[in-house]
Amino acid sequence: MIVTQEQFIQAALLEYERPLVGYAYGFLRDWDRARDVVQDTFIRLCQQDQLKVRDALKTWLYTVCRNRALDVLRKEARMVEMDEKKLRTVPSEKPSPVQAIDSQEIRLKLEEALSRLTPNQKEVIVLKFQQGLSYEEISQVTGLSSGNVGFLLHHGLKRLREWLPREWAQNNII
Amino acid sequence: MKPHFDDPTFTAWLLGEATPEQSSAWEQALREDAAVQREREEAQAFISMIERSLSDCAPVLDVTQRDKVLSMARSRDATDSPNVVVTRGRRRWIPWTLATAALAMMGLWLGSQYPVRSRVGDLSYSQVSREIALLPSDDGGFPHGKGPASEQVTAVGGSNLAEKRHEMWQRQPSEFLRFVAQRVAEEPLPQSKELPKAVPRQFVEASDHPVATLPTRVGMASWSWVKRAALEQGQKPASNLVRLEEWIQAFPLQSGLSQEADGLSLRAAILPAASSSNTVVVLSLTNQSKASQSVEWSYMAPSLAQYRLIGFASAVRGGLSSRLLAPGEKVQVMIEIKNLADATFCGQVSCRSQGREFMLPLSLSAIATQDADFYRLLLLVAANLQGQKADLFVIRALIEKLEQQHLTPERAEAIGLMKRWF
Repeated sequence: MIVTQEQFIQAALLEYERPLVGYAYGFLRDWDRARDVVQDTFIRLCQQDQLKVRDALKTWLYTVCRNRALDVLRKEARMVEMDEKKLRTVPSEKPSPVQAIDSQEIRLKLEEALSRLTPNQKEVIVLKFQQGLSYEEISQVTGLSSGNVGFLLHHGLKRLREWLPREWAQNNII
Repeated sequence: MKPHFDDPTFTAWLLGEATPEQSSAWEQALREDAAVQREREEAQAFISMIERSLSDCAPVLDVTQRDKVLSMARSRDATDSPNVVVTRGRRRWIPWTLATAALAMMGLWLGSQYPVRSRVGDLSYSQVSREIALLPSDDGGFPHGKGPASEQVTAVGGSNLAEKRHEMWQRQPSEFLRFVAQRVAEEPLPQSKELPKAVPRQFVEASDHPVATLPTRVGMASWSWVKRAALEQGQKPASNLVRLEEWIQAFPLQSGLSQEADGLSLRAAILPAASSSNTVVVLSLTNQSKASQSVEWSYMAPSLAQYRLIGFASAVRGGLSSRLLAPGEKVQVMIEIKNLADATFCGQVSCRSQGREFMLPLSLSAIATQDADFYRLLLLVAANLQGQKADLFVIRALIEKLEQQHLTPERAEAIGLMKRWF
């Protein structure tokens, strides 16, 4: 089907805009910066030939978004000496919509537990369970092998199960 | 096979990512070892919990950011044809340049004539979606009661396009409305001042209006706005974003009395009103056939009763009226009734299509537990958000009760949202 670039971008925005902002937020811990990164990702998409990217659009978007977010983090790391621990605990400039809703306390605890995982473990868990990517797609986005993705996911989940209260899952609390 | 839960293939199996050999090995272990069953259940519950809690609550780009992206895409359209592979030979750029320049000029001219973002036929998406959003519904001629003046349409732009809009609705009403609802979901939330003044409908006497024609066209933007107000701004929605008559379109009636004929399905459920001893009837009409059908449905009230269509009064006339239901299209309305002489009988609904008519008497046996609870909750929550008195204890009890039940994804999402507010 022949579509204009505008139609192509609109469709991509409709499907991936919100998930990508959530994904970028996972790196940046700040909604405004996450949206800037996603805007930049879509601007880059505008510059692409849609014939070349549309078959692998999802992984293309996640890869570019990830690289842009990491670029931002690297730039900031050059400006401010910031170790990883500090980076994980830096508060966002304003409360996120999620934080503004008091019933999200449990989610915050999960995020805290996620931040104790290795960066790779955390990333594959987010890509799998928040973004719904397959092992193969995660492999393409992160550059990790598919086997490694499975390994990281398995052990990351195992650690989370050890850290988080058992009754959360059993009682369907969230 | 002795199961090793440290094996990553276990998680891969749970997630549907294992190879066929790995899957069959784990399925065999499942049959042979109760520990595998236990571990699988626990792990799946944990994974569901992770998925739910990480579910997407992210905001979208703001309008300026999105416009910048789309204008970039438009400029690419104006200068290139991404679906055509151009062989760049000597001087072949000349006709392309001339053609794109002509297109760009035409685009600029059209842009100046119709300053909108995107178009469907002769209508702009943003214009249409705002208009539909602001028009509460076509009331189908349902009688108005005494009271304050009816709401006037204050749609943003384009009222002279009513005829075109009417044509589009006649052609593909359900697809058009679905599309519009999607567009509404993408647009910035309207400011309170943009919305028309909300005037609730007043009760009418059955003796004056024994029969009331029901609407076949009801807006559906409000539920989308309410969800966005919660998710994007982390707050309760402004009172005039709340329109119960639009909310109920998002939650199809599942049970209760029903009657079917000629591909049309009529359903009804009866429930107590939000904060009075009145009775509320939820009515649903669906075109289950594969062709559009021209329908007329009406409510016949019991004598001596008073009734009103729940929602705001609308003075929309002409252009929007349509009795055509597209294949699969559904319309739902709520009627509040008071002063019933016989508490077990709330009147009846009749539906006429292609010259044939069928009826559904509204007796108390139409009470359906989950539907009744869910719609009652909607009534109470809407009343609370609109600043009226609503018993918070009852709201919380209904939320708790519904949470225990198997709900459709839409209802489960609604309950999740209400839990945040109450």
